[in-house]
Parts: sequence; C-alpha cells; structure tokens
Amino acid sequence: MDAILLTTLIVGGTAALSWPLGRYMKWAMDSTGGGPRRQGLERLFERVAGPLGRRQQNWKQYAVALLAFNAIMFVVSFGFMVLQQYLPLNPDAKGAVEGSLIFNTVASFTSNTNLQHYSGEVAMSYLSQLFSLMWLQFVSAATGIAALAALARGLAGRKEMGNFFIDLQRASFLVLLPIAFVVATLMALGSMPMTLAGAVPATTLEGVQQIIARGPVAAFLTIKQLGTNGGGFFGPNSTHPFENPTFWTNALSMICIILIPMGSVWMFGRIVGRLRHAAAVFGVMMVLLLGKIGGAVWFERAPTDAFSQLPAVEQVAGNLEGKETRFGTPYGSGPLWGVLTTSTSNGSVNSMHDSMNPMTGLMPMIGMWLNATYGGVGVGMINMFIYIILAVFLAGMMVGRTPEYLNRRVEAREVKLAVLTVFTHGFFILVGAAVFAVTPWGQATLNNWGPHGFSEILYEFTSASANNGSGFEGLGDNTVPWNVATGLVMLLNRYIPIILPLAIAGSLAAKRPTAQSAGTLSVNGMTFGVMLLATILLIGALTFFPAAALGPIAEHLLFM
Amino acid sequence: MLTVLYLVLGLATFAVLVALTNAVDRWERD
Repeated sequence: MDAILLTTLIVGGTAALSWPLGRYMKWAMDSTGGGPRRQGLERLFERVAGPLGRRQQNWKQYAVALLAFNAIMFVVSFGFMVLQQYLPLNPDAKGAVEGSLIFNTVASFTSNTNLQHYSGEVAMSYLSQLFSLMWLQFVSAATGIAALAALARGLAGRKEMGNFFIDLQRASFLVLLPIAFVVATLMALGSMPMTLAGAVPATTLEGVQQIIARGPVAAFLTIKQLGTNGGGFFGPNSTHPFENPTFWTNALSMICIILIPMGSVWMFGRIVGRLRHAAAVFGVMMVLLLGKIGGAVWFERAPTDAFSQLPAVEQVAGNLEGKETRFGTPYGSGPLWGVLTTSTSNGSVNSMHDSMNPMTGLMPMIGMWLNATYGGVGVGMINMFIYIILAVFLAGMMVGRTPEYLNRRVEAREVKLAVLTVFTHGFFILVGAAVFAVTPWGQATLNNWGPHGFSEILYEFTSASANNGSGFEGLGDNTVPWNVATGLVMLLNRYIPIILPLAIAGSLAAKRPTAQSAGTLSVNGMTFGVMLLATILLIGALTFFPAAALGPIAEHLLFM
Repeated sequence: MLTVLYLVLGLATFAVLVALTNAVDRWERD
C-alpha cells in the first residue's frame, strides 16, 4: 500500500509538474518573438557564440556542430583529469588516474552516461569533479535538450533546425541552471554537504581513526539527477548518507530524475504544435513506466533465496538485501528508484541492483533496452520518435496506405534510418555481452557464475549502450577491456541515435506536406497509443527476450 | 604515452561519427 502511495505521489506529482515545465522549456528553447528581455537574452547568446551562432543550420550542419562541440568537451575534460595532480582544488592530494579509466570516465560523462568504474572520493580531485565531470553533466544534458528542439523544429516543417550553439546556451542557462540552483539549495538545506574543504579525520566509538570524505556534494548531486546523468560524487552513489541523507532528499531526487524527461515530451508537443499527440506519447510512456514499477515492486516483496528459510516475520519486509531503510519501505523505495533511474537514462542508484530478486533486476534492464519511457533529457523523446516512425510505418502497411507522420510521408529512406537506429542499440548490447561472456575479458571479472554472472555482463553493456550508467555491480569492471569496450559503446550509441533521427527529421522537413484525409492515421488517440505500445513491446521482445531468458529469467526459474 | 593513445581513440570515434553524418547526408541526396 505504501509503495502505491509513494509511486502515486512521486510519479503523479512529477507528471503534474512537467506540464508547466514543458511550457517553460518551449519558451526557453523555441521562443518566437518574445518581449524585450527575451530579445536581450538572445542577443547575448549570439554574442557569446560569435560567428558560429549567426546562421541557421540544416540537420547535417546541426549534427556536425553538436559532434564538434562534444569532441571539444571530451578533450577539455580529458586534459583536466590527466593533469589533476598538478592542478589546484586538490586538498587531499589525489594522484594520477590510469589512462583507460580516464578514457572510460570522460566518454561516460561526455555521453551523459556516467558509468563509473572509479570511486569519486578516492580517485578524483575537486577540480576534476567540478570543472570536468560536473561541467560535462550540464553540457551533455544541454546537448540532449538542444537535439530534441532541433528535431521538433524539423518535424514542424522548418527546413532550418536552429543553431546548436545558441540552443546549447538556452538549454544550459535558461533550463538547467535555474532549476539546478533551486534544487541544490533545497538539497543543502536537507543536510547535504556543500564545501570545498578537504576530508576530515574522525574517531569512532571504538577509538578507530576514520577519514570522512566530503566536498561540494549538493551542487554535484543536483545536476546529476536533473540532467539524467547519474554519476555520483561518492562511489556508493545515492546510497551514501552524504549524497542522499534522508527520506526527503530521496523523494526530491526521484522527482528530479523524471522531471525534465517528462517536460521534454510536452516541449516537443508544443514545438511541433501537436499537444494531443504529445499527450498520447506521454500516456504510452506512463503505461510502460507504471508496468515496470508494478513488476519491480511485486517481485521484490519476496525475500531472496538465501533468506527464505528465516522465520516468517523476517520475510514480511520483502527483500531487504542491499536496501537503505532510511528511505522508507524497502520494496517501495528501492525498486521504484531502480525503475525510474533506468527508464530515464539517469543511472544513479539508492539500492544494490545486484541484490534485487532476479525478476526485479529484469525491470531496470527492460527500461534501458526500450530507453524511451521518458528516457534521457531530450534524447528519450528522440528515441520514442524512432518507435513512432516504425509504428506509423507498420500501421500504414497494415491498412495498405503510404504511412504519414505529422503531414509528411514516411517512406523507405526514413524507415531504413529508423531500423538502423534500433538495430545499433541491440547490436552493441548483445554482441558486447556475448563477446565478454565467452572470453576472459568478462569471465575473469565476475564474482558470480551461471545466469547471475551473465546478467551482470548483460547489464553492464545495456547500461553503457543506453547511456544509463547504473551498475548491476558484482563485476570487477575497472580493467582495460571493460574500460575501452564500454567507453566506445557509450560514445557510439550516444551520437548515432541523435544523428540518424535528425537525418529523418531533415528528410521529412524537405517533403511537401500532405493533406489530411479520412484515411490518415491519427497520431492523437487511443488507437495510435495502442499501436505505438505494441510496436515498442514487439521490437523490445524480439531483440532482447533471448538474452533475458539466459540471464534473469533462467535465474528466477532455478530458484523456484 | 598510452594515455595519449586513449585520447586519440576518443577523437577517432568522433571522426567516425562525423563521417557517418556525411555518409547519411550523401545517401539522402542520391
């Protein structure tokens, strides 16, 4: 009962907040006209962007600008991390970081993934945390919002998709920074540390000396959640008492995880001028999200196999392994967070996903496989756009009409690009997991064998490819093969699902609008919603069910 | 030295992505 109440308050409350946020995001990202203040802001952004911000870009120019800026982000952050031992803001004298770990970490934060093969409090100076990693958390999230705004402009029929350098500033300074400032203040008031002072020694009741790490946690934590980044200041992420001290910081974190992804759907609907279509898409995402939450909460009500012989009173609490009881009901908060963080490409954790019951652990994997149940900031809606193209195509084929989307004909070229986008996600996950499952690259890093060990490898590649960053854990993943393989997967599958949808939008924008007729498939109502839902489930099941059967499903059946 | 190679690997990945963008653009124009 309390799990239902918590879900209703967090998911329902955030859905309500997302409506005005979507309106604000449309104003911020695609304001047409506006008052003198807004015009002043635009002039400021143009001045900062210089010659790069003066001209409107088509899809290709926009994509190349995005890639070029992200490559610069990669190089700058790489430099900070390589030189951290010589740079200031290093009160605890953190040393050099190993090369493949730097590659993995910078690829991870540039791609908005935040997969962490290191512990922040052990390996990174404050300068690396703030000016390398936290900066990337802002600009990588802003990149996602900018890409969605460009895609929506293309679908609205505009041949020019805007200017990436202007959009990046709009997303950073008008969307992310103001919200982050408010949330960081609330987090600091909620007992989260916010200091540049170094670690402090403490003496325990047993007389043991401990070094307590601290730092500018509130600022880092806020953009980590708002930007669907997920990378923790501390190694244990949001299970750490400084990174998530109370029930209230936990609840606020969950709201932040899904707020901007939800708002992105409404922003998309407003830019394309189809709010009813956005409502249908929002509804489909909500059905999938609630389905996964329901499944996770249900399967987590049983204790783990190891605890099943304990007295009945111990089993009423459900699976307590790997949970923080300060966040409330163990089978509510842990699974709820687990689903939210993996549905939105966030990847922060407040419980140990490796300790979830096998079928509970499947729900986060489904979230990352589909990667569109709100998804990452901006990019979640872009992923959903690919499913929409495929759903519209299938519906058109079923009734024998040329498929149309937003008054533009969807033809072979767009469908091929959409299929390629879906294919790359499955390819990186399944091929990567297969290679590491049969070689020492993966086998030598496992702490569990059998289906659970396979789940750990599958989860790691799933998390990397979905740009999620959460870890199932149980893997010794700070090795050169893991660092290089997941680093490459994160980079490639961050940008391919941005480039190809932008190409589709550019292709559609170049077509002559078609007149709406009685035979046109409406993309607003229940029929479209069911069609879209069925398409997503069909593609997801056909691609990933065999792997799920070898991992979490096999493990579940073994314990029955 | 090895660290520089990792930097090059990252930049090479971005170069591949730019090449992909150009290839898709050319394919669309054909």
